[in-house]
Amino acid sequence: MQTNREPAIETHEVSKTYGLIEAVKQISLTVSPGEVRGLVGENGAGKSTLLKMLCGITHLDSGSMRKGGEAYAPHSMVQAYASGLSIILQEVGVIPSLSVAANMYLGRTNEFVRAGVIQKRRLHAQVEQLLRDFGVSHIDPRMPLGRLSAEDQKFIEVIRALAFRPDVLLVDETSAALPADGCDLLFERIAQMKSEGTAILFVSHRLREVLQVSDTVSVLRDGALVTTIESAETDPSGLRSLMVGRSLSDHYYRSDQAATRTDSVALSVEDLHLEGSLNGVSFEVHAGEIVGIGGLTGCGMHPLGKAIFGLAKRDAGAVRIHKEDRAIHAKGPVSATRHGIGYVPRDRNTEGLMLTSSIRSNICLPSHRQLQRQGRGAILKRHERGLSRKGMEQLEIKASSIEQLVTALSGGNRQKVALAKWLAREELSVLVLDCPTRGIDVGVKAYIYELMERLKERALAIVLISEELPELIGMSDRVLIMKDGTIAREFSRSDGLEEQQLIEAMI
Amino acid sequence: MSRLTNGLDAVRHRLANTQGGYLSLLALVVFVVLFASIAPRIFLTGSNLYRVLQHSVVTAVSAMGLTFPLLLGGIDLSIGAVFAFAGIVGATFAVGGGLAGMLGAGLVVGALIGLLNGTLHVFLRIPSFVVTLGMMLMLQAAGVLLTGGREIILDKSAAGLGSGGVLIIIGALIAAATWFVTNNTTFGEHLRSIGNSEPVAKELGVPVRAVKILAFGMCGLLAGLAGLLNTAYTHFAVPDPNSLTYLLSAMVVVFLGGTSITGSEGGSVWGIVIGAIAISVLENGMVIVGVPSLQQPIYIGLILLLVVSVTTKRIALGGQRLVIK
Repeated sequence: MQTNREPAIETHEVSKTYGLIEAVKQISLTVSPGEVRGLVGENGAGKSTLLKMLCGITHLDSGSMRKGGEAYAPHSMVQAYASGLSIILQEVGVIPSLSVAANMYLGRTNEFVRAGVIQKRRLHAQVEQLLRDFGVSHIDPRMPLGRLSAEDQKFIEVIRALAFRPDVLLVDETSAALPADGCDLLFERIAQMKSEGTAILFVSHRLREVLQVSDTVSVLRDGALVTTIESAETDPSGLRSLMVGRSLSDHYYRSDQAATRTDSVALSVEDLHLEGSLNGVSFEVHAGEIVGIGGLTGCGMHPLGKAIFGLAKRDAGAVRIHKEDRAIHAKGPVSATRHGIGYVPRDRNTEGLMLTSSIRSNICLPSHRQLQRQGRGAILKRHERGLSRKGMEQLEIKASSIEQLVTALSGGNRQKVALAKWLAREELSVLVLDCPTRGIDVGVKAYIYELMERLKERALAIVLISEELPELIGMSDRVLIMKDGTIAREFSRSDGLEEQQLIEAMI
Repeated sequence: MSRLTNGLDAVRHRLANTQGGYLSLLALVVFVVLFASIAPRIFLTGSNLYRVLQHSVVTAVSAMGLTFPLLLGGIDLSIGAVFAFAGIVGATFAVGGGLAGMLGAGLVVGALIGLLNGTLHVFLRIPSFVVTLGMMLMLQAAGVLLTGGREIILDKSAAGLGSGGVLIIIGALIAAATWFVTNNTTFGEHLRSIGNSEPVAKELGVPVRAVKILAFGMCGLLAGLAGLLNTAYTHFAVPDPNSLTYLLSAMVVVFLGGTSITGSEGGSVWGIVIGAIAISVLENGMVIVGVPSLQQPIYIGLILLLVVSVTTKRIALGGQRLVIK
């Protein structure tokens, strides 16, 4: 894009080092007004650090930034906001107990505060008007934000970022959490703001989406800028190989095209009911079989995962684990764990891991019984260490030691820990994976697919709940499509299975 | 056991969708009906009900103070001790200083202790319950040392504070001010932001340390005021007048009012006012019915457990968001 104006935002050889890790190495980026720039890279490539620098949360070690031609060095998010930058962050940045209106103005100096007193009536009227401008009429600005549905909350975050007419907008992975119409609204607004001259930096793991939205894409790898290319000149696989630094083989998903499984049933789910989400779900999974489960938002696939593991209280129905001709009824998470079900939840950070504990504690937690047996009643540190070291090696978890806290790991490595804790169990026979590759970089993603294949060979029964159709088609022996809390259709693995067929079954 | 948990969950589920404060109303109705039916002749008299109302002011004021640290996710366990200590200091200064001397000295002492609590909590990075627990012990001992363990009779010049309508007017003013500060100021928003998540609040430009120190300062100030009101009302100050019991009552009232023990949520002032009256009815009723005073904390403690168990959201307990939507 040719403009004779100053770049909207510019970084000049910015660097940031955390301890021994160079998170960002001398990155120079220039985004012009009216340009939509995609920013892609594996986890740990430096995307979030770069964004945090731009919005004042992280300070640079060296280098400089300019905004609209002037020196720009925000000390806080508040200063960044004040200088005309807006950010839509991934899954943070709101206070649920405050009203919608208060959340709109969080971190901004607003004209409704005089000497620390908020003039609520004026504030509410203003926010109501703002919401109406965005075509939202069903949200009351006085409501505590936490009372809104998750989707409406995300909606408010988007509106908040767009409402103040920023000249630079940073979007971080937001589409992952947005409902479909929220995504549409966002993209629509991005197009509009682009035409009004806003510079937009768009970060996502969804490469197809990045290419669709952006004019140009910058690729980061290991903290450094690899290249910036025109979106029109590349495709997702091109980007992927730039991100990883080598071209990925075609063995991204399973290579075999036929459904295979053993004869023995490992898990049977019988007529599962869950108030408000499941209305009678029944299916069986054989040992050595990967059963994919997909559907639209709200179809009940995520609650199904919870219900199988017993986290959600079932209103009716049963889950049985089959072991040597015995069918054991798994009532709750305790018996499910004991009899060999593993569950990797969708949100690994809040449900799947103890973030502030070590890798060792996380891996050993489901195996305490096994460790106790090994230590004749006592859980010995050396047994714990042995088990967790094995898990760390098996899954190639990148960390300084087994004592490292999980919170210090990147998203992909965290997910590996979440997997390792189940794989450490001798009894494991069923693995329920809810969006196992969500928000994970390509390298780890490919690794997880490979792992699933290996587990399948070891005759594990795998339930793969996923929002990504290529993943379902690429990995599953059977795909079950859910709709309104029931299984609407079943597809067998075959050469000709297309995304379109699945989508039709979902709607 | 699981039936009990399920029942509790059902109650919590229902409560999660109300604004909070209804529980205090329920408690008030239950206690009034209970004591009115056991001892109508004594309980249901104008002068007794008036006394109940006066008495409730003392609990309400310190409960409102406690709201501040609770909203930011902390707690102040020293309020009972501050209450007693401020009473002693106030009563000491009332001799010669009169009403102004008592108020000035008592309030300053309360606020200073609160600010000290906050400062220690923030700068030494000690959890607030530990800081304030330590403070409680120190203040109790200091109170005993200061008075030699004897009660101080309040000088007549300062007793007007506790008479009749004055107490109730002060209570109403404090309630209005607390409501305003927690709902209509940036300070109130900052409290809730910190209670929700400290890192997020920091990124949003909330001066976390200052807000925390100020919150504990407010709590100390109001606990001190409550102590002075109580001294004026009863005409004497005692070192450690059951300061733990006192803390318990304030906690019951705050939780009855719908404030969450996990921070950020609640802070309904009318819930606190009604809750304070309810607890005042209970305490008054127990005396009338003849429950020995040594036994009374058992009931208050039981009610505290009951209230917290039905109001704590299960989100905070088990991370099971599925049921509460």
